[in-house]
Amino acid sequence: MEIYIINGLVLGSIYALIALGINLIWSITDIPDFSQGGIYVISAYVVYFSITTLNLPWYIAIVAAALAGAVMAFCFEKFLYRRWRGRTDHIQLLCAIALFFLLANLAIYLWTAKSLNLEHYIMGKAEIFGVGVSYQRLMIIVVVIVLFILINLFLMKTKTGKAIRAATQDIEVAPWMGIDINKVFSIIFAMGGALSGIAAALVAPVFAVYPMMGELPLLKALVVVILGGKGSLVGTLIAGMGLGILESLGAGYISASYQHGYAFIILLIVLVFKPQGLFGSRKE
Amino acid sequence: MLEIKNLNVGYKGVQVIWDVSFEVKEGEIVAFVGANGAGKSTILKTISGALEPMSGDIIFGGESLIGTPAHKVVSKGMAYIPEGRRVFPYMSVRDNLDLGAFIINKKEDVSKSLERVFELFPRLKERQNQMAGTFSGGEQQMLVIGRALMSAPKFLMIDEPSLGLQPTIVDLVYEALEILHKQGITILLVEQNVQKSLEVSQRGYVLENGRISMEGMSKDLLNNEDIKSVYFGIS
Repeated sequence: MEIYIINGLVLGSIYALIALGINLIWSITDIPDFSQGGIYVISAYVVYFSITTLNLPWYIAIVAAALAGAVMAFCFEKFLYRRWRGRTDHIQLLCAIALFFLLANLAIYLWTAKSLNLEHYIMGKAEIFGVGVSYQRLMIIVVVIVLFILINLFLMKTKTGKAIRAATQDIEVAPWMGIDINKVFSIIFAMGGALSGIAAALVAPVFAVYPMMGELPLLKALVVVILGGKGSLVGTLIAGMGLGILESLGAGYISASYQHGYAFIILLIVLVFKPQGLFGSRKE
Repeated sequence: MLEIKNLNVGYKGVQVIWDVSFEVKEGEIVAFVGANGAGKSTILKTISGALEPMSGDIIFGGESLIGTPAHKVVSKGMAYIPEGRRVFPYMSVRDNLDLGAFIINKKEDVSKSLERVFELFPRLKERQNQMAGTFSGGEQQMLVIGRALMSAPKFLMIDEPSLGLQPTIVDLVYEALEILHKQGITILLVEQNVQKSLEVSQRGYVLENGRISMEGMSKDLLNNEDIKSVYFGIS
């Protein structure tokens, strides 16, 4: 039982971290940014080569992945999505989906489809409730929770964070306060990309690095955003962790073959009974 | 202070403002009146930089604002209060006010503005930590006026401040505008409440179907027979 819960927390942390970036972007742009799944893949390769080819220490590799993710998302917004801002024909969404497949295929083209493995950043195990848990897995949970706290503080306490929230709540009025909406978009996308990059860096040693590694985490993260509620950080964290634990328990006690189906069953149930998500604001 | 020259504005190719010219001199309150849909809000949105005119010029403090994006207009000393009491609903009153001072970097200037707003609307001071979305309509109107004042503007544009408010609150809002005017703020007011806005302003313009159909001293407009029959239903 405990082992399933801890594994679920690890998995759920990753869902929550990708979902956090997607949620921030979704709240202001109305785009479910599928390209984050591709950013996640490329960032994982950035980590792999930073460590294996460049011999960089793991913590620098994580920073490199965050930077790579931030730059990719920043550019996608600045040079692509921005052209179609305000359009209601879903062209931005199609562009995001295209980017996701493009990046995954870029990875196949550059590095072939074979999966690559990394050593754990921190060796060793801790004993929790009688279960041995690798430090690598614990690190994932801790880093994700710390990031959630930091981003929450940034949004609630800093001037820039408040400007971002204002723009999210009323994008038409925010400019009249002197807030540059283009800057807000750049910051949000860079943050989202960095979070996807960090997520990839954290899991790279636990799961393998391969071109299609982004697909399931992306879909689960999208489910987590909807479950937790658009605009709700706490909702995203709880929904992410909750989904991870449920999947892990489901795989353990019911059947592992259905592991990737549970998320979507829950999604449908929540959408029917509480379409704004479990913690969503009334606005949505 | 503000001079509008031959302004033409349209949405997606449909022209709604036709060759509108007017001016607001320093120290004035100028009212724009007219029926719903006459184009009053469009004019304010265009001045504030949210809409780009098809042609014409907007000169503020001696320089043209054409091509200036909305977020740069506020630092020129102009604040705009749009119609509909657009508070940031999921933020506290205090955060809303702080956002009004987004362009102000000096902390002392922000607290000076804050004091001034609290003096004008003591209710906002009492309720600083309340979520703005839970405010009543009147309180939200006070908040958006207060938020606009936080940037210490010389010129204030306000769109339909009395819409949907009960008469006692309307009086309170208008009293506040008169106090601000006495403090030296020039005001451009857009209203469907013809009576109220012509009473408070010095000069007025009547907008009909996107064109200025009448202009003059507010007290003359108030006594104008056409205006009486159209807007007050008296003949």
